Amino acid sequence: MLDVIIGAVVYSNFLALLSIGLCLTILTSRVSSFAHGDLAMVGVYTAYTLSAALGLSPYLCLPAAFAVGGFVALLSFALVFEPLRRAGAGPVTLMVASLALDMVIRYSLHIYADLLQRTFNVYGRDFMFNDARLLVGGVSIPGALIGSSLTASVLLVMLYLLLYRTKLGVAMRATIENQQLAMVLGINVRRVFAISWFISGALAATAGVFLPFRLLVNPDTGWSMLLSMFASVIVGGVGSLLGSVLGAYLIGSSELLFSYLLASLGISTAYRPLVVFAAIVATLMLSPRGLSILWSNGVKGSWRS
Amino acid sequence: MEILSFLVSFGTLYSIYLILASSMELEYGELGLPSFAKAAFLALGAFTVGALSVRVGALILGLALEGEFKLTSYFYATLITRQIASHPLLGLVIFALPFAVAVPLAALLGAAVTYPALRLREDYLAITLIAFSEIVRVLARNYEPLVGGTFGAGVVNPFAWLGSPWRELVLFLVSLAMGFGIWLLTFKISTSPLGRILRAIRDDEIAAKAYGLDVAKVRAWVLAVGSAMAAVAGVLYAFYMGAVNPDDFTVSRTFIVVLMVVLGGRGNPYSPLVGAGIYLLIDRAMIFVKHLLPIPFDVNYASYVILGALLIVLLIKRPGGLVPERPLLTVKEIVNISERGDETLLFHKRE
Amino acid sequence: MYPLEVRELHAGYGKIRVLSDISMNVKERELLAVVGPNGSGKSTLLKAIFGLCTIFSGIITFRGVDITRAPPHLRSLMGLAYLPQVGNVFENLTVKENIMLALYDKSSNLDGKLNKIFDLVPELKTFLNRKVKTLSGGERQMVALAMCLLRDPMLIMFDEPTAALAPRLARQVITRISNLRDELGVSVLLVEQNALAALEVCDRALLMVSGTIKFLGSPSELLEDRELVKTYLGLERVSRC
Repeated sequence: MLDVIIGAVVYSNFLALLSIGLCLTILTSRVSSFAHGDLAMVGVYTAYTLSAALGLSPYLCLPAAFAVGGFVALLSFALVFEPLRRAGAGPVTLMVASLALDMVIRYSLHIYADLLQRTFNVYGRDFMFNDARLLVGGVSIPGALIGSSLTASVLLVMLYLLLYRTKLGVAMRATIENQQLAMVLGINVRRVFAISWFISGALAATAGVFLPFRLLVNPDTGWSMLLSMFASVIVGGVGSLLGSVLGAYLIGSSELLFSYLLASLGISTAYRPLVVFAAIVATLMLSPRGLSILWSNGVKGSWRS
Repeated sequence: MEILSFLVSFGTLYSIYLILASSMELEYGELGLPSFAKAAFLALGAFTVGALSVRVGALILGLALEGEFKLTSYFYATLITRQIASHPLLGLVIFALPFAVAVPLAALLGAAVTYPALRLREDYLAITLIAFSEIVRVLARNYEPLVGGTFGAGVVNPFAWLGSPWRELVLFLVSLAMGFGIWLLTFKISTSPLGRILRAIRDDEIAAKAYGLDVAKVRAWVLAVGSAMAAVAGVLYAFYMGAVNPDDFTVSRTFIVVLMVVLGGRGNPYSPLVGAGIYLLIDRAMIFVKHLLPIPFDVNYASYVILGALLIVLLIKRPGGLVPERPLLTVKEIVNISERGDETLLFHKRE
Repeated sequence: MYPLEVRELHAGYGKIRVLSDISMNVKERELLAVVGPNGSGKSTLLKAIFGLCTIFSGIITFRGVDITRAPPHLRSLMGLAYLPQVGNVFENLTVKENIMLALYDKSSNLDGKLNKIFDLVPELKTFLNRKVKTLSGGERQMVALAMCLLRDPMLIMFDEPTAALAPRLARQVITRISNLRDELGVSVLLVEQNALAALEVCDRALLMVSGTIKFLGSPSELLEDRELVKTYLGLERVSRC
């Protein structure tokens, strides 16, 4: 049971960083990207490559994952979503484009995995990172628990500071609330978009690095968790960054608990997504504004609302 | 003979994709609904064949099925196929039955899907459909009695009473007839007043509602029809492949169908013909290239990367596809027309 | 050369034409009031000048420069300010943050500018750190106005600034706006539903009906035309003192 709790915390930390990034790009550029989960895998393979090539612990590769993930997200903004926005594409078109982008990124990772396997003789798929274990108060705890919680907290706090204590952050929040007014005031809205995409990718990639400590990963792993990311955003409340984070912890815990339940009943844990589906349906039927109804009065665009 | 067999095979696959592209053209091209559960409905048709062809055949022949389905389905499929060689009626029943089961089921399920569509924004609807599609696949993968899980299920050949190559030819002709028939239906809908209603909802849902259109009902109807079409394609696909495997129905399939519609041009009734054709040509070309180049990775991966990039480029550069939609009359033109005093054209604008 | 000149403007939204053959101008240090019944295109005129709707034909010149096709933020940079009815402040941000954004690209002489604004709108100091959404309608208008003034505009366009306000407050706002012309020397293009109040302070008046100009001239001339006043402004008897 302790293992389930540890797993839930690590998984929720991961979901939180991914959901907040997803929410950020939805709020700024109005894009729900189906390629978001793949950014996490970009981080995994970056860390894995460096780790295998230089013999470093994956923990030390976090900054590299951060940078590469941010860069890939930035590229996808510059090459895909910004040109589409300029061409006047609607939300459905943007979604279809993000699906195509998912194909590009995910299968490129598959190709990379094949290359790792056949050319460099390293496992390209279904690998895990060896985790260090720490002794805390007589109990042996996996390093990933501490590492992911610490990283998630630090990154979320930094994001908060960026949004609420810097001029750029004010500009970002303003753009989220009223893009036209921001433009009228001379804010470079395109730069705001680019930065929010970078952040979203960097957070996703960094979070991804913690996955291989807990489960076998392959290029499709991020994609398979996409539903949970969207569920976190929906449950948290559309347009609420704080909501996405809280939603992530809720969904993450529910998923792992449900999985534990299935296993103890002898049912295949492949049915785990059903609880996520149920959460989405329940939210939409009972409280469409999700958790955010607890602290907001419906005005869009802040950390809280 | 080899060329003939290649053409027959290509033609059958083209007909199947034609059906899929037609259904997507109705749902996405005309109505603007991101029908991302397409693979699930395709699977529905195929799984019906996979689950039933052997079992029904055995039932009719009075055969007892021993052993786990996943391990013995292929064996029994071959056995029953041999029986069909002398019992053509059995073959026809096995061919027709899945349609009777899958099509109504798909239509109902498709209509049911519109209920979440009412409550969800288009992006949340899309992810829900994708998730639904994946869940169907995962269920089929894990619930082995259905189509044998990861082993897949063997499918009986319903035309075994004809010698090869006639069996493949008959399947091709039937598929072609169905494919063309379904495309014709799509064409008729698209060029009828109903088509204009679909496009009106796509272009401005609020305005459509203001004009009294029951958007929810139209969506349910279109999704029912589109899903039924996909199921038809699924049944044909299962018979074409001779086997059914759940992993053949991932979201990548849905993506390919969307690509076909965008290639051919959204909102244009000819787009399924064009899109399906172009995609298949690209696909066959890549398979051909695979044999020539020695690459250290699976060429299927590369094909998806290329196709994904292609779709992105198309969406940015040629959103109208290769055969664009007929443009609406604009205000300026109408002003000119009315000044010319051509009343009939003015009336045309008002729809 | 006038600060703002509009020649034969046809504009609207998408495919729908709202303004037909509009020709007018705004002089330096002038308050031009735009009045007329609902739906006459007053708001659309301001939007067209600022570049927020579709321009079918015509020319708009600001400070001698043709801005007909220029993007809105460029017009803002050139000294053209636009204060719409709604969406003119960021509700989830504090007053201070809103002001900070107004000075986003003009960060020179920050303190000097802030002090000048506090002189003109002293109330700002009292709610500097509150979120705009907690302020009343009148207070929000003040924030919007302050943000606008901080950008050193040459011409300010107001779209029905008194619409959501109580009558007493409405008068105050109109007085403040006319003070801008007197004290800062800016030109003002004022669209107002409250015709009488606007006509009392303006230098010239523009009467718009169904997307065309029915009258352009001095306010007293307009008020003397009984027919126009009764039909389009709904004013039965007007006495001027």
